[in-house]
Order: sequence, then C-alpha cells, then structure tokens
Amino acid sequence: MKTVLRAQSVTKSFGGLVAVRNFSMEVGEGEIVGLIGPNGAGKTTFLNVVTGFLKPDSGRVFFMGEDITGLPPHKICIKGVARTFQLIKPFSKMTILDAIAAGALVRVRSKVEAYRRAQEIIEFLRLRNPKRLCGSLNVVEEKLVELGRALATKPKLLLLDEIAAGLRPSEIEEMKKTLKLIRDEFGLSLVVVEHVMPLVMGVSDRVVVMSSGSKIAEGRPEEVASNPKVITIYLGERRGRARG
Amino acid sequence: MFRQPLSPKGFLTLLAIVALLSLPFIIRHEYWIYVLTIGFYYAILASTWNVMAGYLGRVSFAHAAFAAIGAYASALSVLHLKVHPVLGMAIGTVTGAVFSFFIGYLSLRLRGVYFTLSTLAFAEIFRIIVTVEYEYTRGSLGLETEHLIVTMSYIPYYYVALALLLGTVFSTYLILNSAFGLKIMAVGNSEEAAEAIGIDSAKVKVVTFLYVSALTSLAGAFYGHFIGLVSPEVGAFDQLALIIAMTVVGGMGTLPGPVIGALLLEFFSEYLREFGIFRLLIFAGLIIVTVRFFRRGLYGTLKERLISVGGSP
Repeated sequence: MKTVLRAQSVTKSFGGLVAVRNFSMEVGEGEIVGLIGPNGAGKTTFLNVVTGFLKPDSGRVFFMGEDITGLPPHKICIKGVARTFQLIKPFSKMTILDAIAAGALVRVRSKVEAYRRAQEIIEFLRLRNPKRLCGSLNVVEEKLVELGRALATKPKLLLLDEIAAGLRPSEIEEMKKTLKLIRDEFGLSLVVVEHVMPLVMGVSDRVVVMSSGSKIAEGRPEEVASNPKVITIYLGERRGRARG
Repeated sequence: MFRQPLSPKGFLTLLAIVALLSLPFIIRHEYWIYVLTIGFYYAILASTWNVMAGYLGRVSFAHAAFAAIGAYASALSVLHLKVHPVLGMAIGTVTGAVFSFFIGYLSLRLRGVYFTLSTLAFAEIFRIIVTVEYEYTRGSLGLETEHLIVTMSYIPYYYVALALLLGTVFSTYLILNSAFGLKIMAVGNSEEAAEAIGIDSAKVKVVTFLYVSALTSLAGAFYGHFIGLVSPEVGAFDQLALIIAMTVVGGMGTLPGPVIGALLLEFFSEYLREFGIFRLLIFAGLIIVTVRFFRRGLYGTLKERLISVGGSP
C-alpha cells in the first residue's frame, strides 16, 4: 500500500503546554484512519499542523513522499490535502453552490467549470436547493456543505475534524455511508478525528488513539476498543466497553 | 444567477441608466447638475469602499485618503510636468495603486484588525503631511489646479462623472461575478476556510485593495479637476464617515446600495443646507433610523422583502 501521509515525530507546544508530543502516524492510499482521544489530546492541533495552519516545533510531515512541513494552508490544499473544521466555518453569505464552487476553483480556472463540478458534488451529497444561503442551513446540511467544499478541491487526503458532532444516531448512520462512498467514489484517503464512537469504529480501517499529545494505541477498531490503556483513558478505572 | 437575457433586475438597471443619462435634459438647474456630479463622485467612493467592507470583509479607513492621493498626484503632475488633466488623472490612478500595493502588502497579510489600524495611521499621516508641507501642496489653503474641461456648464462634468461611475459599477459587477469574485466572497466569509480550500487569501486581499484604491484615486483626481482646487479636506475623516454612512444607508454588500445611498445622502445634505450646522444633526438622526430599522440598508432591506414575498433570489 502506498503511503499518502507520513507524519514524523511531530511536536507542537503552546507556551508551556505540549499539545502534540513526538507524534507519528501514517495513512495509506484509500485507507480510512480514525484518530480518537479525549478532549485536549491534541487531535485538532495535529490536524492544524498537517494542513499548515500551525507550524510544528519539530518533526516533519510528508505528503505523497514530499516534505510539506511549514507550507501555508492554501499550498497544502493545492498539493491535495483538504480538511473540514471542528467549529464549522461556513460561507454564511454565499449560496451552497457558490461555496462549493469556490472550493473547485483551486483545480479549474473558469467559473462555469467550477459550477459544473460543484453541481456534481451537490448531487452526490444529495443537497437540496443549492441556491440557498449557507447561513440558513440546518446542522446536517452545514456539515455536508463543509464536506462538499473540501471535496471540490479534489483532495487525495481528506481530514475530517468531528464531522459527526451534533448529529442524531440516524444521521450518523447516513454520514457513515457517505464517508465510505466518498472513499470509494473519489478514491481518497481519510483521517477521521471523532468523538462519536459508532461512526469512527464503523468506518475506520485502522484507529489511532491519542492522549496528552502522544500515541497510546493503534490498530484495528476492535483491537483498540479492547485495549486496556484505551479503556482506562476513556472510562478511568471502571471497566466497560469503549463507547461514546 | 443572472442567466435570463433581461431579468427584472436588468430592466431596472437599464431604466436607471437611461434616467441618469437624460436627467440634464429634464433638470435645467445647473446647481442640481453640480450636486448630482458630486453625488456621482461619492457614489464611486462608496461603491469601492463597499467592495472592501461589504464583500472582502475588510474595513479601510484610508479610503478618502486615496481620493486625496489621486487628487494631489494629478494636480501636482499637471502643475509641474505640464501634462493634460486627463494624463494627470491617469498618473493619480497609478500613484494610488502603488501606495495601496505597499500598504496592502504590509498590512493585509496580517489577520484581524491590523489592516484597519494601518489604514487609519496612513490616512492621518498623509493628511498631516499635506497640511503641514506648504511648499508643494499649499497646505490647508489648497492647491489650485486646472479644470478638466473648459466650459461654463456643469453638464460635461456630469457625463464624465456618470461615465466613471458606470465604469466602476460595471467593472465591479464583472469582478464580483467572476471566479475571482467567488474568492473575494470566500475570504470575506471566512479567511481560514478560504485558505483551507486553496485560496491564497493574502493575494486576494492585496489585489482587491489595489483595484479599489486605484479607482478611488481616479475619482479623487477627477474631483480635483472638477472643483479646480485640491485641499487636505478631500482626504479628511469626515469624508470617510460620509462614505461609510452612504454605503451603510444604501445597503452594504449589495451592488446598487452604495450608489443609492450616496445620491440620497448627497441630495439630502444639499437640501438641508439652509439648516446650517444643524443639518449634520438631522443627518446623524437619519443614519441612526436607517441602521435601526433597515439594518441591511435601504436597498438590502428592499431586496430581502422582495425575496421573502416570493420573488426568485
């Protein structure tokens, strides 16, 4: 399996707080990797380092074998890495169509072509009435537009930061299907940062567990779920199954 | 979006243009032609400020200063290089563009409020320099300059100003509806999200600021050769306040809003001239009422109402 993303001993601290400590992980082609851990484990910080929003103190990030450490976010997107945000950042005053077309502009020059691409993605995600403003949508639609905007940039690697947070169980099931479909249809690799266990355990080929900035476990979902260390960080001393 | 050959919007636009073109034949008063010409000048300034504040989401406090830069650059080159005012206006435009490039390059790459603070500092420094420096600028007395057209009537100026305004609005329309326009709006909505989808936000901001400032300088240069006098007042803070008020009252983030706001407020301010200094009070009240009851401005509110009634957006 070809390696798409390789993060090597990434460390990032804010003042005295080490948010990510000597963290390494790899993502293979077509793989869905779940990245889980308690609040403050450093998952989002790591995502920000990979996508160029933060520069690591040390360590390197390679994408398709190329060192992308410290490149600005838009250049990393051009290379083929897209992301969504934990606190979604919608283009509130733009229509769904415009917002997604803006994402396509990184690959195509003409607006007509960008709209065509956006329309395809809108149909794929089954978003209704794309002339609505992004500021007027419900939670599910907001998440889908955020996803669509990232997909429009034609990424080889897509990093999702808590895409399922705030969704109802039935919507989580839908999202699970959508993510698998995205991987198959668009042929990309996914990193799913998530607290919602049914989603992350359901879609991931492999799960990486972070705690206090370090990797504490890695493996297939069922292996990780039964790992005593993981159970301890999630549930403390009491024993039980790892559930959201 | 605007795919129909002649939408109601297109029809209204055409109607407004025809009305403005034929107005000098209807209004025979030179005075009101003069007022309208000044109104067009403000409409250009409000329209360009609106591109920054309403679409790119960046507030520039150097907007009036750029009009003054254009006016001074043009007047000085006409005076010293003995060029025709038309060439002077071109020099004024380029000068504004150059200044805006440096300010934009230095301050627009920062996030947050730094750009606004930088423009405020720049505008004040510029105003103080032209006021204090007497040798070239004649300080607060103002610099006399040649008129653009040798004529007894204001009508030729009216058409030049109208042409500049239509050019500004039309080019802005084209830009906002282009691929680059999508990028401007994306950056205006969320800079981080824009960067995450591969938009070089620093470049988008610098280019937009350059476009806006060049047009503003052109308008300022025209204004100088229309009045025949360039003074530090052109770039003063109250001028900026007026531009902002016009944009907000008309409808920020809409294309016709600033034009409507500028013409309306200029008209009002002339109408209320007999109240002397008190007209500023009436003016302020008008702005407060608009902002309180028509938060999206007159045009913005009207548009919103029409859409909610059932017209297609």
